[in-house]
Amino acid sequence: MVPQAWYFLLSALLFGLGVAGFAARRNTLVMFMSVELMLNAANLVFIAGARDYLPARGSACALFVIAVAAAEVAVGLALVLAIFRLKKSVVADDVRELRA
Amino acid sequence: MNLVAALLLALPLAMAAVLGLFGRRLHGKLPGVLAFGMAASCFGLAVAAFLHLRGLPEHARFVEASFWRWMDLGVGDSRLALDVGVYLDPLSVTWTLFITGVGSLIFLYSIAYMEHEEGAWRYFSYLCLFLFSMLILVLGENLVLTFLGWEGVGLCSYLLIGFDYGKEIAARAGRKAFIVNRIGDVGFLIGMFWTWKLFGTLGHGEMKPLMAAAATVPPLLALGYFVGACGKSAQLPLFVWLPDAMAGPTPVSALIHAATMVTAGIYLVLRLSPLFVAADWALDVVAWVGAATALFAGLIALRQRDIKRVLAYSTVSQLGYMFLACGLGAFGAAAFHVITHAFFKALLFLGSGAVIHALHGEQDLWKMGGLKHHLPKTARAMTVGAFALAGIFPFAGFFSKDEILGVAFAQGYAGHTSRYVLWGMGVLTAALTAFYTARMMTLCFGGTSRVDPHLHPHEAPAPMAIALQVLMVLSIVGGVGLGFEALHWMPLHRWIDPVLAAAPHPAHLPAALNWGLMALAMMIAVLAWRIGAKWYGGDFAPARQAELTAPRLAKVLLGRFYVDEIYAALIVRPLRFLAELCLEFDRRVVDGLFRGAGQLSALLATGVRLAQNGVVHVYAFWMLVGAVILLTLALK
Amino acid sequence: MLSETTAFLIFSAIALVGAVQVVTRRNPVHAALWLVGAFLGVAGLFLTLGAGLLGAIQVMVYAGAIMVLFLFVILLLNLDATPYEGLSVARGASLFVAAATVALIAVPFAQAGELKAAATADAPDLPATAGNVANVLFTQYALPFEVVSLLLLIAMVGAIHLARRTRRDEPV
Repeated sequence: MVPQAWYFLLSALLFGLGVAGFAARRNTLVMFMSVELMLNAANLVFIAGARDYLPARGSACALFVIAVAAAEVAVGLALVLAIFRLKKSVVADDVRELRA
Repeated sequence: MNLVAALLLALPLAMAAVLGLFGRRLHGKLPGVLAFGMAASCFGLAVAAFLHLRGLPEHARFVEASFWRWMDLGVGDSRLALDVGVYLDPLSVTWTLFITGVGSLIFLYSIAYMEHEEGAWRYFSYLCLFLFSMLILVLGENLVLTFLGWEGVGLCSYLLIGFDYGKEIAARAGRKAFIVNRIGDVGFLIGMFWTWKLFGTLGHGEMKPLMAAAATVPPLLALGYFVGACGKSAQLPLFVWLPDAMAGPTPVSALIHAATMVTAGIYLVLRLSPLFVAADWALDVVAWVGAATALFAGLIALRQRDIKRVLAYSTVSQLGYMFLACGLGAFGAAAFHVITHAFFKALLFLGSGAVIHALHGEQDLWKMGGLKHHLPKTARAMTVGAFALAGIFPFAGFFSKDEILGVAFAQGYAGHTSRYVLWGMGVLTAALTAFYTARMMTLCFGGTSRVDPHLHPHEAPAPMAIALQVLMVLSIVGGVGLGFEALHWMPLHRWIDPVLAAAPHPAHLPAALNWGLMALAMMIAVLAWRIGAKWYGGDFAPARQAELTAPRLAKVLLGRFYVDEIYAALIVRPLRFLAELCLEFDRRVVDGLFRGAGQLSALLATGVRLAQNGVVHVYAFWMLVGAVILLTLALK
Repeated sequence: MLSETTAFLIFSAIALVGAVQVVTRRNPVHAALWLVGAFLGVAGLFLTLGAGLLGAIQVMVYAGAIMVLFLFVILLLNLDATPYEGLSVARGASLFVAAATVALIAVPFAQAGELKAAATADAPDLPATAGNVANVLFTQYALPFEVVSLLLLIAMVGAIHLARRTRRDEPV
């Protein structure tokens, strides 16, 4: 058996990459992809942690995460489309309407 | 009886509300007629209450009616449970009778007097509200209700003095009345708190046995009420508002500032008379203040030019007599004088109103004269009132005033020597009263006319004339009808004395001495009247010259002893200085503090605002930083 | 049959390489394609963990549906590669924070070692076969399941509303 800690370490790395992508990239589409990476890392923790004792419930929870991710992508991409229509751009820095 | 009492309060209030809300749409005389109808019905109800009480045995002559529980505070010893209700007894019913009776006549008079005034509906609405407040004051089941009415009449007085609020002087006078009365109210409140602490109740019915049983009470407690009474009844040193209150319409002066409201102070003292009797030297203070006020105001009245001011100072003076009577323990005599005074002073004010009406607003005595030819009916009525005021037999004022002086002399005769001084002050005041009344009447009606020749004085219209005639009759028979002490004919005393405290120093004069004093008083009054009439009766020029070039005392009289100026120097100016100091403090320090706080937060906000640059990444970055910090803390 | 360790190493390498490429590619189409790789790697890891059902769903929903959605949008917007975004101080700080996050997540997990069933008083689950997962979903997790379905409906409505072209918008 591979120790669970390995999976957790891998999950942390994937999550970190997602964080880095989200924080560093300016392209909103790529930022969304980074968010997907983070959600995947979380799922990995669910499945790995539940491997020995709660496999079925772990899978069910991961399923919920996937559903939420799907919803998030649908709304997020719709937002990207709407913003693109307004600004002709998908670069996050071009949208600064919240500036005080 | 409950229904009668409830209606007695509900009718004026309802009428005030109706006139206040819809009066603007009622035209012509309608508001006045409605208000008069209400007042007359109230008088009818008062008569019903009177007859009911008279049918009861003497020791059980009271009706207590509670309508609903008003407040119920505290528990145990500190419980204060107050009902909204009425307390009918000979005292309150007597007051109710003359309030509604004289009130009705003045309402009637007002219909004609206010006919051409703008906003008469407002006037009648206030008048109804006043009647309601006055009845609450008199009939209220407990002291708090009395205080409610007390404040209510103060408010109405303020509103009616300032009825012509466009005139600066009226608005000012209204404010002055209000503020001076506040000082008195503090005394009333203190007295009320103290009473509650002492007796644990404020209901008139419940307090009665407690007050009777109390051997002594702190004199300051009674004096608290007396301060309140001084404010409301214009005694030294709080009388300054009453002469200024004459800026209101004349019927208001008659109703509020002569016949009814100003007697509220007497009512309070009578209502709490056992308390005053038990309060050691408090009664002496009342007597001396009353006598001093009577003399002081009588002196000022000698040289006033405004006819209404003469009457105002005479009111203050007569109220002084009433307090003198209270102070001597002759509470019944005080009530007697209140009633006769209500008749003849209302008559005099309404008569002066008719004169002013006829002269299109002229109030200066020096610009009148010879009016008896133009206004014979008014002159006749006013002469009766003036005789009554001057205390000339057999008019109303003679009997009540003589009774008070008789009590003072009797107490002196019984060994309280200082009472001779009070008697002397009273007699001197009586002489002054006769003199200035004669002066006023002569300047107004006698001699040659000094009236502006463009004016054509005419008699007052019917409603005014009727009110005058009725009051004239009352001023003639009101005294002898209610009591003649020397003949032991005292129906009013038999009726009202059982609910009042007995005099602490009862004294009786031998009948011969009593008659002799009466004759002396009568002679003094007639003599003073004759002198006054003679001085001012002939050619006007020397009299005026005498008044204008008078020596120092007369100047002081003309300046009303400079009381207003003294108040201004001692109280108003320092207060104003203090207020300006506070204003500066407020502007510089307090405002500065708040403005500084505002500026500081704006500065901080500018700093924070810079963080809100709208760049998503920056938000995300800081969110991550926050997450990292939280994780670190979680790992600790 | 691969040994579990070998499978873990291979799939984790795929996932990591894919993730790194997603974050670093400038062209969003390339990034999206690499994301497919990363998803497939994770799906493989699910398989090695004995969660075959989830691996399959991962492939279908993520690598299939969601990726197609991404690609559609990219094509719809007709995007070119974005210019190089440079390495600013802010970006350096972001990367540092990301690294800190990794460390902070990894350290406690590494310390925790094997997770025990101490967390639950229930009996251990049956293996994560489709039937068992379905059983859990429709019994114990029935309410969250329904809530998620509602969430998806709302997201759908919201997405349609946001993406709908109104008259005021200029044509893309």
